[in-house]
Amino acid sequence: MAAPLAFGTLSRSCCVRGGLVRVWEALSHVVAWCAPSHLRPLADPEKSRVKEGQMTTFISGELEQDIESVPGIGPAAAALLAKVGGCAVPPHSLRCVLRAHVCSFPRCHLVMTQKGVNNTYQLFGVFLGLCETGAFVLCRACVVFCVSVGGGWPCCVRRVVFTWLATHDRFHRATTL
Amino acid sequence: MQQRCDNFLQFLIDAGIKNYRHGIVLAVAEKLNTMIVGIYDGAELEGEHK
Repeated sequence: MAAPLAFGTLSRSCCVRGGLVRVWEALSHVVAWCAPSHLRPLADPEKSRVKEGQMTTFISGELEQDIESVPGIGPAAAALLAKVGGCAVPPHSLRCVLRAHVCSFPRCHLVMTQKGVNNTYQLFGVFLGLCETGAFVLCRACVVFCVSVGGGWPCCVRRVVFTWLATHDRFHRATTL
Repeated sequence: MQQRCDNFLQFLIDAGIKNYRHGIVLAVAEKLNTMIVGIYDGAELEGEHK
């Protein structure tokens, strides 16, 4: 009888620990969302340490699929991006799937789901998918982008871009993509 | 624009990237700006920090 009891205790303790970890993760996300903007890191072009020549080559050159062609991304960063998972808070990701506008949360990483970011198109898709508050149309396109994970990534990015351009009255620009 | 760049920076931080994060944000934003003119304005971003 000792073995089932021990097993029961162990599984219960694992459940409690797992639950606590989930609560902790959820709380940390809520705190991050609620944090005032001055506490969150701000993107600053002046802090860029990428060499000027490397940046110019990337900007003016042909877009390559290889993610390491992006300045600042080396093998280590590429490996980290390949491991990136989906949004850690289940209700959030569920709401994101059902109601596109929820993905205006700063930490919504649903755009990657479980596949990771493996090429430049996906990285661009992440940038475009991280919606600003109020950019509802882009968010809807972001969900289309999310749902079609697994194939046709460049195509999906183009769809996001097309939708965005259409709403900003610059649709003719899309033909150049 | 600022918010999207900040979110992207946060994404890179969450992914565990420690080096060249601001450079990656700048590179992606600038490259996208060549495809979608007006999506990124470096001067505007710098202005918001001052």
